Order: sequence, then structure tokens, then C-alpha cells
Amino acid sequence: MKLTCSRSLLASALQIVSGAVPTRSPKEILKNIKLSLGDGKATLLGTDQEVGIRYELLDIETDSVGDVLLPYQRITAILREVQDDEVTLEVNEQALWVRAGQSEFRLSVEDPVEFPDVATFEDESYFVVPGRALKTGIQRTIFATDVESTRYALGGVLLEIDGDKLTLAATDSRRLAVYQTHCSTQGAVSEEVSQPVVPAKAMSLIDKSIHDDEQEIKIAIHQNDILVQTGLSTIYARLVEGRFPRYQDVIPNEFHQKIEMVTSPFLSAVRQAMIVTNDESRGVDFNFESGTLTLTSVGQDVGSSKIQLPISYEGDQIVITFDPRFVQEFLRVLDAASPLSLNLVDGNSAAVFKTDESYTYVVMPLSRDD
Amino acid sequence: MILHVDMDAFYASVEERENPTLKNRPLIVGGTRTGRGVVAAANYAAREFGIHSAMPARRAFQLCPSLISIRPRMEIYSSVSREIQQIMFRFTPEVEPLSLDEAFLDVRGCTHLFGPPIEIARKLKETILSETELVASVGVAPNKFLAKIASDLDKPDGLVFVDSSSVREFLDPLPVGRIWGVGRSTQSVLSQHGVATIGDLRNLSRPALTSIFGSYGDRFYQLARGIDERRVIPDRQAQSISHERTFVEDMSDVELIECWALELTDQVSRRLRRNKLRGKTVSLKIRFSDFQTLIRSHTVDRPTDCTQTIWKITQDLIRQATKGQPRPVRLIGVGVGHLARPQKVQQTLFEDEPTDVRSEVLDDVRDRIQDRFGTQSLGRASGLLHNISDRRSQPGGE
Repeated sequence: MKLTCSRSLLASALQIVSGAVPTRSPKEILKNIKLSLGDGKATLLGTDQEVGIRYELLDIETDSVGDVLLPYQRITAILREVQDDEVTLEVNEQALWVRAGQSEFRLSVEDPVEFPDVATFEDESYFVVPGRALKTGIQRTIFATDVESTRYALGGVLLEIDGDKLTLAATDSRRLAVYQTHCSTQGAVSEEVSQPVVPAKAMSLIDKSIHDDEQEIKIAIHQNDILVQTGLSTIYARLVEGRFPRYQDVIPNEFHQKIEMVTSPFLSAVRQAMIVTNDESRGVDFNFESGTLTLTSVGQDVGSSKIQLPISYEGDQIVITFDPRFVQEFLRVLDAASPLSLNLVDGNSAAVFKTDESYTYVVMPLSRDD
Repeated sequence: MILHVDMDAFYASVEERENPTLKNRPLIVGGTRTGRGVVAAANYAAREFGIHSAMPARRAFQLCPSLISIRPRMEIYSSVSREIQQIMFRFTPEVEPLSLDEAFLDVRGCTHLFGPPIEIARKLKETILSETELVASVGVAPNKFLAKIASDLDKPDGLVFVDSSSVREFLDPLPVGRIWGVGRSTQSVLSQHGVATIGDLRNLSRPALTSIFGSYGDRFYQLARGIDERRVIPDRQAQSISHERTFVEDMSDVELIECWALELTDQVSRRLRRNKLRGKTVSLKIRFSDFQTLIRSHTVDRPTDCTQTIWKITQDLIRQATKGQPRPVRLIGVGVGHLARPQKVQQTLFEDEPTDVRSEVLDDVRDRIQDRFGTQSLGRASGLLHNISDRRSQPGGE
């Protein structure tokens, strides 16, 4: 079999598929990406058997048929180093030949028959979400997941579908990110509210494989797994087992203070305040006073810092201590110019950041003794 | 200069103070005529009968039938102990408490305020006596090792000063048993080499000592010369908190070793909580009969003060260290390091892991019971089964 294609196209496709390739695995074969040629199409497959992706290469002309396992690390290194626009992959004599310009590589390959398959999207009943909404929702929740959790299923993003409402939620039990959007249905999907938790790794793959904001993304939810089609890619994931906590219960509804701010200057101040913190003393005091926000941090054996920021706030003084990483991770996914509000009960209760009705971010403070 | 302050017959003296009719009558704290308990403390009148702490109570009553026995009232002892510590803090912040009735003080920084070390020791003794009616023995010496020996030499009401120029004259005539960690079995090994006094020990060459005791031979070499580099470390700035225990007889039974380690873990984690400290690194020290010493440690992500969490790690370390190990164990130590005082704690959105909460509540209840009724008041079944008492472990803090 033989395939000639654009180097940058192949490189970026491999880059996306590599999101499913395990860095450590007892099964050596999974460290490959499978390339299948047939029907004039080229498809890349990567999987760790929990999460898998099937990615179709565009603008390929080939009349070859066959499968080959591409050793991922070496192939990407080659595509990175060679300078030519076109590369040719050819399999013969039980080896893979990679040629580009004046360079030629011969790589030993494993038997493609051994490589586990990744399901194709065959469902006729599924949910449909606009690409832009899903991409935004993933980016605004995925950072709050906690793959270490043993008590709850926090290693992924909850996709809660209730009628035409789609809610994405993720938490590591110290902060919670909730994003709401709409979806439509195709075929006869179940009326029951479904609550699958999709592994963070799969959500990241979905995010990366959405190229087109206008694209309609198809989501088919099964008992134990999920299939998502994003145009060129089909992503398969086994659902995270266990229960996602009742996140609605921990979002406060009534607040004493509401502080309006703009993302970019606030993020800059938080990043400055993070400089003088360390593992032992991570907390930064956020002191809101009329007209001014003062961030102070003291890092044991490091030093201290004080950063001030003018704000349009005229209420009573309130001080709350946050792990600044949690605030920074939230601000980072917002547009620099977008407004946000911080809603506070007191210095020891959950704080709620809101950008608009669709995005809510809850952070628990560090406890204050005074 | 370092001061070692050791309260004379502390528990018993507190009881005498609280009830003057007990004065000059033989008295023990802990243990009853018929029970199986051990003597936690004996006053000097009782000691004249040969009664000493850690002796089975039944034996004490055989030695002195008119003996009076009192249930330990730890709440009072620890409050008096805090009073005494407050007195020490008036002289220097460099106070390292070893137990309720013992502490090291580094007075090098306060001589211009209170006079020479011997003068400070005298004033300290006077103040403790006038404010608490209790007698302290104090050793004044260039280091911890010497100060600890000195405080014990002239008890009760002792005040012994060891000048840096007379260390050799001070140490040489003393029996080797005065050295920390030299018990019956080490003494018998030493006597086979003709060593009875610290002076004899000093005459052994360094290679001779290392051939007998392994790497610990170096330590003996230094101690015999009165060299001890350990600093006084106040609890508040300790880098680690540890307790260790040298066994009277070397131990091969892993279950028994674990029982002791659990007792030490209890003490270490209690001390962490009392000082509001949490640590990330748990370390285990094991010295085998041939003096080879292993230190194994394990570091976790979140600092902890929870007995159960620390114990799980300790137990793993013990099992790794003793697996397939033919040599019996002579000393075991448990420590927690990478300490931090959590001023502010990250709160969580959902209820904590149920097991964590349970162990925390358990720790809290146990601390309160033991604060009130004494460490002997609540024990582990494993400890009772093997007659393990906590009075004899050595706290450390390097």
C-alpha cells in the first residue's frame, strides 16, 4: 500500500489522534496509530481502549487498500524534522517506508490485525449540539475535573441532558464549573434525563477535533459508553463509573455582595499575586473595598506581595481567601474583554463567579480563622 | 550552653502538692494493689523501698505494703507542665519539650539578659519552686547529651554544671549505661570488650567500635568524647516530630514490632495535633541487633495529622523493611516530617470522604480522653495484649 499526502495535514491529524494514544501502557501495540486505506479514503485510529478516536484524512487521493501501524513517536519526529511539503508512506517487505524529499526512513512495524478497533458512528438516534457551544462548554469545564477522585466520578465532565437543555459540569470538590447550552434531538432518543460522565481525555479529544464552529456535533449515549461525531472524527469513550455529586445543591442562590469586574485586568492581578506563594501557603487574600480590590499573599520563606486593582464596587469591605490557581484557571478560559461578576455570601462560604446566564463557576475559599 | 530540666518525681510531686497529707509517705501514681497496671511515677519515699516507674504495681506493693496508690490525673499534670513551660519561655524561646516533665533549653542567646548559664539554671529552679512548689533538677552543659546526663546525676534537687574544659573528667568515670540508648544488651556486649565506664569506651578505637556496632559505632565514638551536635529545636519550628524506642530485648516478632510502632505512631500524631502541625513525610527507623540502621520514608501529597493515615504508611514501611529479614530488631522509631502549620485550610464543596471524617473524629475523641484522664486511660487492644506502655519512648525532633 502507498499513500502520498501533505506533510502538515498528516502531522496535524496525527497530533489530534495522539490525544488517545497512551503514554504508558502494558500493551505496546497501543503506542501506535493505525492508518487504514480503502474506498479512496484514509483513516487514522488511536485508542487506549477506554477512549478511542477514528479520524478521516481530507483531500487524500489513493487507490491503495490496506492497514499499517504507525509508530507514533517516530513518525511525528520525522514529520517535524523533514522540510518537504509532501511525504510518502509505503508498506512493503514487512516494513514501513517514509520518504520526503532527500530523506528516507525504514521503520519496523507491528501486525495491524492485533490493533483494537474503534467503533464507527452508526446510531440513528442522537443529540445534536452546535460545534461552537460544545467547544466552549468543554473548555470552560474540563480544567475543573479531578482524575484522582475515588469517591465520586469526577474524572470527567458530566453531560446532563434534560429536554433541549444540555449542561456540562465538572468539579474536583473544591471548585465547580457549570456551563449550559441547548441541544436538539434526532430520532427516538430516550426521554429520561441522562447523566453520563465522559472522561476528561475524551472531552479534550472532542474539543480538539471540532474545527468548524458551525459544525453540528452528534452525540449518541449508550449504557456504558458514548460516541461523538464531529465531522472528521468519531470519538468513542467508556463512561466514568460512579456517581457525580449533586452539584446543584452546592451553588448558593442568595448573596450579600456582588462585584462587577472585567476579565483581563483581574487575571493580570491574580497572576501577579500567584508569584509569591508556595505549596505551604497557597492562599491569597482578596480584599474588596469601596473602589479597590487588594490582593495580598505571603509565601513562607519566599516573601510577600500586594497588588491593587480599581473596581466599580461600593459595598462593605469583604475579605475572602482563595487558592489563586482556581481563580486563574477560570479567568483564563474567558475572553479578555468579557465582564464577569463575583457573588459572595461571606469570607467562609462558596463564592460564585458568573459571566452570563450560561456559565457559573463556584470556588470554595480557604477557611478564615478570624 | 544547654540546660536539661527534669522535674523530680513529677506526677507524684504534683499529687503531694495537691494533698499535703501525702507528703513523705510512700506514694505511686498508676497501678493498684491487685491490678496488672504498672507504676507511672513514684515519690522519693517510695523509691527508698526500691520502687521505680515502669515496675508492675503488684511488685511495688510487695516491696512496700503501706504504699499509697493514686490514679493518674493527666489533666492536672499537663496543666502544671504548661505552667512550667511558660516559666521557661520567660528566659528563652528556645525550649524543646521532651515530655510533660522534661525539656531542653538553649540559653546561649539570653546570657546578657539573665547572666551566665549556671545563674539562669539557678533562677529557673527558684522560679519553678516558688510558683509551682515543685522541684526541678537541672543539668547545664555544652550540649544536649551532657546536659541530660548532668540533670540526672544529683537528683533530687540537682544542679550539675559541666564546663567545656572538663568534659573528659566528667564523663570518664560514669558507667556506659548513662548513655542514651545503652541498655542491658548493649552493656553486655560492651562488657565483653572490657568496657564498663564511658572512659573505657573512649579508649576503644573508631574502627573497633564500627566493627562491633556498625555505623552506630561512630555515634558511640563521639558520645564517649562528649560530642553531640544536635540543636535544641522548639516544637514550633521542628522539621519533623519523631519518637523512638529501644527494646530491652531484641525483637523478632513482627506483630510485636508493629504493636510498638503503632504506639509510637499514636504518640507522634498526638504531638502533631497538639502543636497544630501536619506533615507530608512519614519515616520509619529500624535498628537491627547488629546495629545496622535503616531509615525508610514515604511522602504523600497532602499534609496529615491523622493517626490512621500515618499508621497505614508506617505499617507498609515496616513490612517492607522486615520482609525476609533474619535479624531481630533492637530499636524502632516513627517520625513525621515536612511539617507545616496549616493556617488556612481549603474547604470543600461536598462532604469529606466519610472515612477521613471518621478517623478525624476518632483522633479528636481520643485526644480529649487522654488529655483528661491520661495516656494510660485509653489504649489499643494490641498494646494491652503485649503490655506496651508509652512512658519509655524517647521523643526526638531533628
